Amino acid sequence: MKCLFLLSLVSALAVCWARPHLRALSHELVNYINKANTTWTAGHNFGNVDYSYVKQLCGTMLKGPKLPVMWAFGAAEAISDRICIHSNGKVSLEISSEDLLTCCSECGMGCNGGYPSAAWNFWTEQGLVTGGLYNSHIGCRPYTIEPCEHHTNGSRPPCTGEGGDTPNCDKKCEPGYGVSYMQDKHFGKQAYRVPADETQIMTELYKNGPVEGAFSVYEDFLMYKSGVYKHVTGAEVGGHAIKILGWGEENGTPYWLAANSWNTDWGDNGYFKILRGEDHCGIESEIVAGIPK
Amino acid sequence: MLVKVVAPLLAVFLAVTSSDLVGAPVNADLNNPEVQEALRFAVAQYNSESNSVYISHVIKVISVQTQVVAGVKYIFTIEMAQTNCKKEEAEQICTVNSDPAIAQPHECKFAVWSQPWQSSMQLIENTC
Repeated sequence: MKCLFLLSLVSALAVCWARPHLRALSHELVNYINKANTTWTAGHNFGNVDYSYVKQLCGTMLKGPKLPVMWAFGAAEAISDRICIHSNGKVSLEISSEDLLTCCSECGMGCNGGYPSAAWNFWTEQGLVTGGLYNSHIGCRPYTIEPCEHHTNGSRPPCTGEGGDTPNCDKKCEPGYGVSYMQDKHFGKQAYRVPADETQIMTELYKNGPVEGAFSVYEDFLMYKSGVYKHVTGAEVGGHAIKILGWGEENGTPYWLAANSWNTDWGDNGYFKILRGEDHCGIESEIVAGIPK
Repeated sequence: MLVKVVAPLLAVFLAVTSSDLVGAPVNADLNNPEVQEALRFAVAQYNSESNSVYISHVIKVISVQTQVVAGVKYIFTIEMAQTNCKKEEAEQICTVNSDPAIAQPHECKFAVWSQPWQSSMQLIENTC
C-alpha cells in the first residue's frame, strides 16, 4: 500500500517535471491529456450524457452567470437543496443568489470574489429571499444578469461585452410576486465549515445534503469532459466555488461528484468528477454547509 | 494541555483558511503561452477596432491577472504606443513611431474572456 502510494507520488512528480508547455486553446492540450493515460478525458463540446437521475434530485444548477460570483451561486444552490431535503421534499424553492451577491457586504467583493463561509453565515443572520434564473420570474429576486451565447445559432442572446459591476441590494421583490421582501426571507439555523476530512464530508453529504466547496482551477480543468479529474497540465488560473453533491468510485478511482455553473455545454453536461481523498487542488479544505431553520 | 495548545493553533488555522477569497483575480505569469495568446488576441482586436491608421503595440506590461469566470478572464494593464506601421500596409517590422505625437504612449486595460472548450475568446474590456 505504502509502495503504491510512493509509486503514485513518484509518477505524479514525474508528470509534473516532464510535462511540456501546451496551449490550452489548442487541440494539443486535449490530445495530451487524452494520451496521458490519466483518469479523465478532455475535449471540446459534446452532449448526450444522461444525467436525468441527477436532475431528479433536489435542486438544479448549471446555468450560472458569466460573472465570477460562483461563491454566491454555489451557496444559493446548496442552501436550496438543503431546504428541500430538510422538509422531506415538501418545500422546493430556489434561493436567490442575487440577494446573497448584492446584499451580503461581508461576503467579499461582490462580482470580484467572495468568502463562501461568510455567505452561509449571512443566511443564518440576515436570511435569503427566493429567486430563480434570469428572466424566470420565479421567486422574489430572480437573477438580473442575462446569460449569453457564444454561437450565433444558439438559443441564448449573443455575448456582448460585460462589466464587473455588482448589481444593487434591492430590498424588494419583483412586481407581482405577492410576498414582501422581509416575509420571503428564509433563514439558516446554523452555518459551519466541514473539516477537510473525506469521511466527515461524506457523512455531511449523506446526512444533510449538498455542500459548497472551492478549489484551485488549472488550465486543463477548462477542457474537462468526463472521468475523474486530476490536474495534469497548465497553470493555475484562480479559485472557484462549486456544489458537491455526492461521491463514488470509477475504475478504482474515488471521486466527488460536483456541479459546476458554466452551463450544460461545459464538462459532463455541466457536472464533473474530481479525485477524492487527497485534498486534490484543495477540494476538501474549503467545504462549507449549514442547516435550515 | 493538548487542547490548550491545539485550540489556538486550530483557531489561527481556521481564521487563515476562511480568509481565502474565492473567485478573485490572481497574478499570472506573462511567460505562460495562454497569457501570451490572450494578449496577442487583445492587441489584434484593439487594432482592428481602433480608428487610427497606425498599428499599436505593447511597449510595457504593467500587470497580468487571471480570474475564473465560467472560463478564464485575462486582465492586462499595459502600456501601448503607435508604431511606424500603417494598418493597410503589408506585414513589416514595426517599432514605436519616432514621432512622439504619433507614438502617444498610453496605459490600457484589457480583459479577455476565454472559454477554450467553446473555442471562444472575446475582448470584453478595452479602456485605452
